[in-house]
Amino acid sequence: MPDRELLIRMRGVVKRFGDHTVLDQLDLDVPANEKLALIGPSGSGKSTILRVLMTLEAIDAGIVEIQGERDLAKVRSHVGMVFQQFNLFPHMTVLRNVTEAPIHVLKEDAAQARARAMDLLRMVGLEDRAEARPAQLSGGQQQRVAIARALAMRPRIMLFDEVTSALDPELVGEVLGVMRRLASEGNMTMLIVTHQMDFAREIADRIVFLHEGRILEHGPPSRILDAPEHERTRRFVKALRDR
Amino acid sequence: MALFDLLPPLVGGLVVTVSVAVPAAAIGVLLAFAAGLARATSSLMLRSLVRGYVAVFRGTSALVQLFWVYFALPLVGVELDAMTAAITVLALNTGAYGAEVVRGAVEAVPRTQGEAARALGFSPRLTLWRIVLPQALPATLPPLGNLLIELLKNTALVSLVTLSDLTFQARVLRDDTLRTGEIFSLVLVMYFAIALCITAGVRVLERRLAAARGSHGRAGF
Repeated sequence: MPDRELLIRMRGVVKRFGDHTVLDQLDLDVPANEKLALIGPSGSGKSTILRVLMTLEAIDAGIVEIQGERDLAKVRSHVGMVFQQFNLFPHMTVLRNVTEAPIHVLKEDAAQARARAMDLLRMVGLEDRAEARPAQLSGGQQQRVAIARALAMRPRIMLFDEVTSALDPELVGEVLGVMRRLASEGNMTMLIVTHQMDFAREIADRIVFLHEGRILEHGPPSRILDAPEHERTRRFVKALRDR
Repeated sequence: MALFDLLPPLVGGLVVTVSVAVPAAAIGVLLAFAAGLARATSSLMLRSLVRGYVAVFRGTSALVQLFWVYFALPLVGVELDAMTAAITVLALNTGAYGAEVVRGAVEAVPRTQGEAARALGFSPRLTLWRIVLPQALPATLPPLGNLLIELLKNTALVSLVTLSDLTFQARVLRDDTLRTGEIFSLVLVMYFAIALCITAGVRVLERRLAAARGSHGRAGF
């Protein structure tokens, strides 16, 4: 297999909030089309990695490159993000949530943007709720709209920040289903922060275990989940499994 | 009891009151949004400027401001006619109080809305106009309505810089006719009628905004 393009490169990244160091000299490479799961205890820096890549947090030291570009604002349109709390725009219909950025940021033709938005809503199974308001939808439905909204910008990289953590258990499956489908389409790089170990095992090419702002170990799901090298990883995986 | 002979001079005063209040309200609301949004920007200079403006106009009496603009400014070569001076001072007052209303409403929009917009590539400007402001607007309406009623009542001050507004006409008329009770009762009713119009107007706006936003925030199932 030829070397895949290195899409994300992080070197010696440091991020502090006050006295607390969230990312501590972190190195991370993500090749194109990889499905990467980030796991670790809360406060280990998993979400911060996504927020740095999305330019929602500035770093204190180190290098972050996306497609070889260090000015992440320039490549922001290649990156999409889905949040734990959905963050849909409550004053807009579902359809407008999806078309707003393509029309006003990418300057796409409105009719074209709507047609594509309907395609995306169909993909997430919500084409019949296009005229609804976010507040009229369940959490699972809102999160599926949020995925469609991010995809409307045609990103190469999708960041999923604990996207099922705020959902009632019976709604988790429908969101994971959409992500599974997205992963199977191949040409999408996905970084997934999750506590769903079964899902990580199923979907991820590689799992990264973070501890106190560093990568403690990484590797294929079977190794990280079944035969971790470090005691901390073992305890974390066991704790989640016993939950 | 014939009130009709009292009406023409009072209606004349009412027209002056309205001609001060309406432009002052329009400019005041624009100022409120400009200043309120400026306080939410990243420019330190702009924010300090607005903070100074709000502090000065909230911290001094509108009557003194009016005297200052009408009687003191000419001493440094700036002469405004009474009407312009009145509109300017009342608009600046409404703008100062309104700026705090707008700022509060903008800050009440969750920060995560801005993050979602940023993740979609929105510029700060686009985020303000399409995401933050539409969500902040409904919360500004009731307090801005209050400020407009406050402005209406403050128009009575303009009689002290030679304008023949409703309050001024009432005093003149009372001196001429000594029908104190009738005159001031009529004047009360007239101010109250305008205030009712403002309240109704704000309510119509609120309802329109709510309709444009659909059932969000109420229904949910």
